[in-house]
Amino acid sequence: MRTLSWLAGLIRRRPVALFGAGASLAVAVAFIAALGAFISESKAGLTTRAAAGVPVDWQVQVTPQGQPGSVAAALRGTPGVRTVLPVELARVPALASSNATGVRTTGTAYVVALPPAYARAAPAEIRYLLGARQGVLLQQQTAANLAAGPGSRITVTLPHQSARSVGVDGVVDLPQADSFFQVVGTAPGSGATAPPDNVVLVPPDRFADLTAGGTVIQQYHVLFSHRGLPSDPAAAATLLTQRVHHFQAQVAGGALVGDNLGAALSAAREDAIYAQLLLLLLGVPGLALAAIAAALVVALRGERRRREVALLRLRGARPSQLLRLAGAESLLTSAIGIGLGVPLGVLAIHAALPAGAHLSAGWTAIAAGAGLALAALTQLGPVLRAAIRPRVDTISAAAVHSPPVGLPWPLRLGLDVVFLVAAGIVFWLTARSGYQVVVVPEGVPVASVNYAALLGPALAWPGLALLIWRIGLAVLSHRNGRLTLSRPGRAPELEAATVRYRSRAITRGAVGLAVALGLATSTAIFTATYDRQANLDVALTVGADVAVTAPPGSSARPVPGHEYASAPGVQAVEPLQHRLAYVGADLQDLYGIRPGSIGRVAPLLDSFVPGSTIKAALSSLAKTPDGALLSAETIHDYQLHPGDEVRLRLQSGRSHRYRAMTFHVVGVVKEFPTAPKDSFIIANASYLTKVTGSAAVSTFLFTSGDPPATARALRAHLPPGAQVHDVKTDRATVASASGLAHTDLTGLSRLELGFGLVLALACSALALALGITERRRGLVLLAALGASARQRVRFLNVEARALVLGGALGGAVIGTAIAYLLVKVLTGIFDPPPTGLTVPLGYLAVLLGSVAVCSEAILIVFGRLAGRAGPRELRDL
Amino acid sequence: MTDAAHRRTDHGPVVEAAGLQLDFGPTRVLADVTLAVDAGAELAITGRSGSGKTTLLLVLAGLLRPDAGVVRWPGLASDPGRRRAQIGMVFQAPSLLPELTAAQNVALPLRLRGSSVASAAALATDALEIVDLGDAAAALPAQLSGGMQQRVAIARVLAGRPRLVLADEPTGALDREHAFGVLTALRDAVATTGGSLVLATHDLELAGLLTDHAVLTDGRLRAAALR
Repeated sequence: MRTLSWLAGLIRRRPVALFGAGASLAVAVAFIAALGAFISESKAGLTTRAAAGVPVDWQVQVTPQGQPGSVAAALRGTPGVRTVLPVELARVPALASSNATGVRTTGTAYVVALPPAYARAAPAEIRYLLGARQGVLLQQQTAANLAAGPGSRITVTLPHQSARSVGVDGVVDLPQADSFFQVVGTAPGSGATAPPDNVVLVPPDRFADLTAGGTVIQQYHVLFSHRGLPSDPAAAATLLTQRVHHFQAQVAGGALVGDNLGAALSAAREDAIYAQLLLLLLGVPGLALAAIAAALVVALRGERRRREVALLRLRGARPSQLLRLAGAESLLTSAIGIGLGVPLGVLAIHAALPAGAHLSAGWTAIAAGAGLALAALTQLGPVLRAAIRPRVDTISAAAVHSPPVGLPWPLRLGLDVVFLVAAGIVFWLTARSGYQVVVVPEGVPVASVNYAALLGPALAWPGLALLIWRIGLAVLSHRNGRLTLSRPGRAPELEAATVRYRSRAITRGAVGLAVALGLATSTAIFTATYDRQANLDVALTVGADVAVTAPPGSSARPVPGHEYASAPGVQAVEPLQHRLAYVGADLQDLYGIRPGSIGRVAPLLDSFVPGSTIKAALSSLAKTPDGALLSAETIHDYQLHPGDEVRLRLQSGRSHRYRAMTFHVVGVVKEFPTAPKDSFIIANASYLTKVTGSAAVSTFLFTSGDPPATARALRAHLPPGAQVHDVKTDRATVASASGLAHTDLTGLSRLELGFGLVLALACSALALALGITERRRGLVLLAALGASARQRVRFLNVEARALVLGGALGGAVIGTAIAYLLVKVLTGIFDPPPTGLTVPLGYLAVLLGSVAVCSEAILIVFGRLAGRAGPRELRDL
Repeated sequence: MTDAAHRRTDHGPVVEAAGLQLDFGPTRVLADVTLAVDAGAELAITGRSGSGKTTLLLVLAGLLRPDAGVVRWPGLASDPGRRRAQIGMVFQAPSLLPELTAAQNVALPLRLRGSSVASAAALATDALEIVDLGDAAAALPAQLSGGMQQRVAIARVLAGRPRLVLADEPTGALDREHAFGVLTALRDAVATTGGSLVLATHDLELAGLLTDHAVLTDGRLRAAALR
C-alpha cells in the first residue's frame, strides 16, 4: 500500500521527471527494437541476395561409373529441388568458317546441348544477342573469332578428323561462363579455370551427331526452391552441404556436385562478417549511447533522489523498504519506457527499413528486457549506495541540500586519460598492420576478423566523453560572468554563480548531448564517406554517370556518339574502345582511350596509379602513341617494367584474325573505369585504330546531370545486344564491398541518423526540462522576489546555453574523432579507400538547428510554467 | 529607535483590503477579510495553524489573487514592478537560492531591480551585519543552520528597505535572543522608511510588542487587544 502511495505521489508531484526518465528509456528500447529488426532483415537479405544471384544452384556431373537415369531420379527426390535440366558438353578440336576473306579456324571448342526450357529456367546463363533463340547458337566471342553470324555456316571438326557443317541460327552471350564451365567436383576457389573462348550451343537432338567420337560430359543443372532456406546465410550454407552429402550418399559415387548455391552462401557468410562489423561499429555504439544517454537523463535526478533516500532513512525507513520503493519506481519508469519505446521502434522500422522488415517477438523481449535492466541499473544504484551506508552522520550530510564537491570518481581515477591512451595504442597497432581488420588467408575461403582493432573506437568513445566531462567541469566551475555585459536588471555574476553551483548537472547533460551529437555526427560522416566511395565504386564499374556498352567483339555496335549527345541531361560524351587482346596465352581486356579527354566523363583518381598521379600517367600515355598502361597484375605476372616492349595479339578489323602488335609499357594502373579488377590494358585509341584498322567503339561514357533520365532516353535507341547503365540505378542494386546492399546501408544509416537526432533532442530537451523542474522552487522564489519572467528565463538561459554549447562542441569533437577512427579502421570496407572524410553539412546543420530550436522551445514553455507562482508553490516557499 | 516611532500611525494606509475571499478547493481559507495597515503601523496576526495567515500575507503581498474582494496599496507605487520592490516578504521557511552565497542571496532582489554590483554588495553587507551574520557573507545556505538561513532571508528584506514588510513566522527557527533582535530590526526597517509591518506569528509575546493585533480564525479576521 505504501509503495502504491509512493508511486501515486511520484506521478502527481514529479510527472516531468518520471516521464522524462521513461521517455529516455523509450528511445533506448526503440533503438534496440529497430536494430534487432535490421539485424534480422539484413541476415535474411544476405541469404536471399546470395541465392538470387546464383544462375544454377547445383551442377551435378555424372561420373563414368554413374547412371544418368538413377542420378536424375535421386536429384528429383532431393528435398527442395524445383527443376532438373539435363546438359551435355563435349570438346571438339576446332570450329571453322569461311567467307570471301578466307578460312578462319578456332582452337579447341565446346559443343553444349541445352534443353529447350533451359533459358527460361536459368535466364541468367544465356543472353540472346542476335538472330534466333533456338537452333545452333554461337557464343559472341566465337562468332567474332569466326566472323560468323545468323545465316552463316560453320564447320565442327570432330575428334577423328571428320567434320560436320551446320548453319548458325543466332549469337548469344554466356554471362556466367565461369561457373557454367567449372571443373565440377573441385573445392570452390581451389584453382582458376578460365572459361573456353569458343562455344557453340546446339539442340539436344543434334548433339550426338556434332560430337561423334568425342568424350561427352553428362551434367544435370539443378534449381532449388529458395523459399525454404534459413534466413541466416551460415545456416543456409550448412543445410545445402547436408543436402549435398545426402545426395552423394544416395548415388554412391555416381555423381559429383558443383554446389554453386552453397559457394554463394559461404561467400555471403563472409559478407555477414562485414555486416557484423558495421553493426558493431555503428549499431552497438548507438545502442550503448542510447543506454548511456538514458542513464544520464535518469542521473540528472540523482542528487534529489539521494536526498530523498537520505531523508527517508533519517525518518526510519529500512534498506529493504527503500529498495522496494526504488524497485517499484524502476518498474514504473521501465513500463513507461517499454510502453512508449516498442511502438516508437515499430514506427522507426517502418520509416527507416525496407518493406518487409518487422519486429520479432524475440527482439521485442530483448528490447523490453534491456529497458528493465537499464531502469534498474540507473535508479537502484543511488538507493543501494545509500542503503549500505549505515552511519547517521553520512545520511544527515546527504540530506542537507549541499552540492557535491570534487571530481566524479571516473575523473578522479583518470579514466579519460587511460581510455584515450589505450585507444591511441590500439589504433597505432591497427595502423601499423595496414588497417587489416578482416583477414582472409590465401587459399582458405574463410574470413577471420581482427576484433581487437575495433577496440580503438570502442575505447575512444568513453575516453572522449569523460574528457569532455572533465573539461566541462573545469570551465563551468570557473565561470564568473565577467564575459557577460552587466546591464540594469541583469546579474551576470549571480547567473554565473548558478552555473558554477549546478556545474555537475549541466556538465552531465552536456556530456549526454555531446555523445548523442557525436553518435549522429560520426555516423553521418561515416555513412556520407561510405556513400561517396560506394558511388565512386559504382561509377568505376559503370565507367561514368551513364555508359552505353556493346560486348567486346560482338558485331553489334552502339550508334555514333554524336547521336547520343542530345539525350536529356548529357553534358559530355566520350568514346571508349574495348577490345580483347592476348598477352601470352591470356585473353585480357584492352581499352582504347583519348588521354586528353577521358577525364571529362570518367572518375579518375590518383590512387589508381601507385607512386604517381593519374594526370602524369595519362600524360605519359598521350606522349607515347604506342604506349600502354598495364594493370599491376599483368606487370607482375609477366615481369614487365616501364619502357619494356610488349607484343599483344589483337583482332584485325579487316581480316578478323589475331595478329601480334607492338606496344611499350609506360606505366602501371591498379584500377580504371569499366576495367576488371585483375588484368587489363589501357592504350591510345588512335593507335588501336591505326594498328587494327578498326575505329569501332563499343562503349560510350556520359557525364549527365540526371543519369536515370539519360539512361532511359538512350535505352530507346540502343542497337541489339547493347546495354545502358547509370550510376544511380546500379547503386540501388549493386552489393557494396561490405556485402550489404544499398538498401541495407540506407536502412542502417536512417536508423542511426534518425535515432542520433532523436537522442540529441531527447538529451537536450530532457536535461533542460529536468533541470528546470529541479529549479522550480528557486524560480518561484525569484518570482516572489520581484524577478520578471524575462529575468527568470535569463537565469535558465545561461544554464541552457552552457549545456547546448558544451554539448555541440563536445559532439563535434567526438563525432569527428570517431568518424576518423571508423573510416581508418574500416579502410578494407571502402572500395576505393577514401582520401578524406566527407562531411554532410546539410544533416549536421539540421541536427544542430533542431537541438537549438528544441532547447529554446523547452526554455520558453518550461521556464514559464516553472516560474508560475501558484498558491501551492508560494505556500511551499 | 523609540516606542513612539514604532507606534506612529499618523499617515494613510500602506495597504488595505476589503472583502477578501479565497478558497483552496472546497476549503475557504479567507472569508470576507477587511483590513487597513497605516504607515508606521505594526500589525500582528495570530491564529492557529491552517487558519489562513500565510495566505493572507501572500494576498497582501500581491503574490496571490483573491477569489473576491480587493487589495490596494495606497502607500506604495502604482506600478506593479516598483511596488513589488517596496514590499519585503519573509517566508516561513528560509527560502534562499542554494546556489548563491548569503551575501548574493541578500543582494539578489537589489540586483534584479537594477542596483550596481557594488551598491548591492554594500547594502547586503550592512543587512547581514544587522542580523549578526557579517562573518557568514561568503557561506552557501547549505553551510548555515536553519536559524542562520532565516536571518539571511530577513537580511534580504532589510537590504531592500521596503515600505511594507510582510513577515510569516520569521522567528520560528530562532532562539529568543535572535527572535527579538530580528523583530527589532524589522521594526526599525519600516520605521526608517515610514512603512508598515505585518507579522504573522504564533508567538503572543512577540505579537504583544507590536502596535496592533488581529486574530484570524477560520478565515475571518478579528481585531484583538493583547495589552
